[in-house]
Amino acid sequence: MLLVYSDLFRRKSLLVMFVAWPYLTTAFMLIFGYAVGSPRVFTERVGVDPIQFMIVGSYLLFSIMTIVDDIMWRPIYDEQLGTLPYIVSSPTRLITHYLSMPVPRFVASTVLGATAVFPVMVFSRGLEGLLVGLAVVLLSLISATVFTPLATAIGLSLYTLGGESWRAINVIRPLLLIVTGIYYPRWLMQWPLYLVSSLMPPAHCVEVIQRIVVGLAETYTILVSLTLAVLLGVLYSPAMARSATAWEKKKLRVGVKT
Amino acid sequence: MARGVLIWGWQVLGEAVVAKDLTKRFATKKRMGLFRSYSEYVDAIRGVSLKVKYGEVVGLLGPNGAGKTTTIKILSTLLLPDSGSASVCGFDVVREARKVRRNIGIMLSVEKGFYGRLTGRENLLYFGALYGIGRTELERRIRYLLDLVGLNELGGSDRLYEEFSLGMRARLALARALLKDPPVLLLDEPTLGLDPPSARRIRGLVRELAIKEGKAILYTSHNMFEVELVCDRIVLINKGVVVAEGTPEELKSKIPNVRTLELHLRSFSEDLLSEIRGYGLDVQEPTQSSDGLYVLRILARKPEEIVDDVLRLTASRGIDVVKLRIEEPTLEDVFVYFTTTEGVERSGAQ
Repeated sequence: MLLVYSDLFRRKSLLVMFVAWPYLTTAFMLIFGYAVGSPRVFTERVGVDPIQFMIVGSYLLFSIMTIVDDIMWRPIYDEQLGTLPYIVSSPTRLITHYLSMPVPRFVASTVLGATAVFPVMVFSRGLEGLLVGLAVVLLSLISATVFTPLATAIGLSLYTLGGESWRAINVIRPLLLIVTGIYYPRWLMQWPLYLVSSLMPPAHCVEVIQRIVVGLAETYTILVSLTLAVLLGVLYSPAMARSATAWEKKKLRVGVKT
Repeated sequence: MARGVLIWGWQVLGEAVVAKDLTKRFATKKRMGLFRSYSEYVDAIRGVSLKVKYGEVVGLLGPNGAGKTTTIKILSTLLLPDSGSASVCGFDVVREARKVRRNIGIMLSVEKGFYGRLTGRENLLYFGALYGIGRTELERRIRYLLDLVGLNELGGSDRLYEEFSLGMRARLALARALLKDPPVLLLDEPTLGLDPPSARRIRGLVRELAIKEGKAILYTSHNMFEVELVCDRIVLINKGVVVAEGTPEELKSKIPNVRTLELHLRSFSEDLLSEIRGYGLDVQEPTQSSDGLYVLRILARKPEEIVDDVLRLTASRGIDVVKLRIEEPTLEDVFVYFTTTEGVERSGAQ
């Protein structure tokens, strides 16, 4: 909590960016979209107006990716700051430490939902928009949670194989973005991409959120998708544990930088 | 309770840290052009053994690259040795790393190691939670430690770490090392870059922790003066090997010509130098002082026994002796003796 909130509240510019970010991203996407396409066509194809879709997408992007970033960037950050030796030499297991890092973000993410998603949804849909907004925020938290094992496994495996480098992470992040279907609904994907995205736990939650926003949600589909997401999250957990162990072993073999 | 009994047992036996024949080799990449590279191996430490008792401060002294930090990292479970063994409070650093971590406090770098956007107190809260200390006990302990290291009087409790001076950072680092009240402290150059008052405060605290609280402290430093003040025993390490070990006085007695006869001469001749060397005395090339006098230094075990002979030699050449004094050896002499090529050859160390 201390780390997350000290950053947010002691840097006013960061706090402003935190609140404005979904709107800025949405504005960028809309400007680009209006320049090359038609909002009417978008609405006909996707099923909802682009503003609602993009604001939800931007919020999902933020809430899922920042939590993933917390896990992937933290080892690099700690090594640069010189705090890594004290974390490694603490009695707390490394994996427990890094997995608990995103927890404060959940709270911040929920607040962001209140400032980004709710206003747009209520403005567009009235009271129903409040329920939709609540579903979006709740499901995005589930989405981020089930993504954690896979994101951790990918991040720590990269670190073990190639060292702690932000370059590798910067290549992986956009790819993860595409396959989770945040800006491109899964039901519109070509089958190869659809297949790959099926292996991503958050992709199923994102699909549920999008179906709710678009009005295509059925109870059966929601239940199946959420079950798949949770199952995948559980399935990736052993990989997460092994990658953490491998990374820690490598750090101890070459020595933690001081 | 079992842990307490085990630690009590070791305290009775006296040895908190035992390292035996530690070795560590690192692979480094050497580049050949843009695409090709090859691995080169560096022996960071070879067969390092040392012990630290409870209530004792042991200094680990050596030039840059000698293996001090490698040794400290192995003992603090941040690095696995290639061979050898080490234990802290009876727990093996490799097989029982988690138990070792509960019993050590470490200080590895003075200028970093904390989160800049948190205050001193908040940083300690963060690390205390990481160490598994309960909230109430942690708050109490932080209040005590901030007073002990003098951070409260400097306003460090509620100031952001990024605004701390180097002296304040060192104090906070020591406070963190003491958070768990560990029986063993591993301090890597804890006063590096500090001003004299801050360095003195840290040194005083270290001595107090050993004497009053019976902590076992391993302390690395380049500063000979400080090591002599703080440490009960010194382990001298060079090129990965322990070359000497003992109290400061024992180490000084190990170098053959321990004392120096220093003469300030109004003039000088090479013949004088040859004649002094002809007596079998170890004499260095003269230097000139700021007042234009020639300074001649003769190394001897008992300089007072050769003073008459030397004065007779200078008088016979018509050379005036303006000043004469006998110098006691310093730890720096010991350090240079055991770590320079000449000294290593003389000592017969590998």
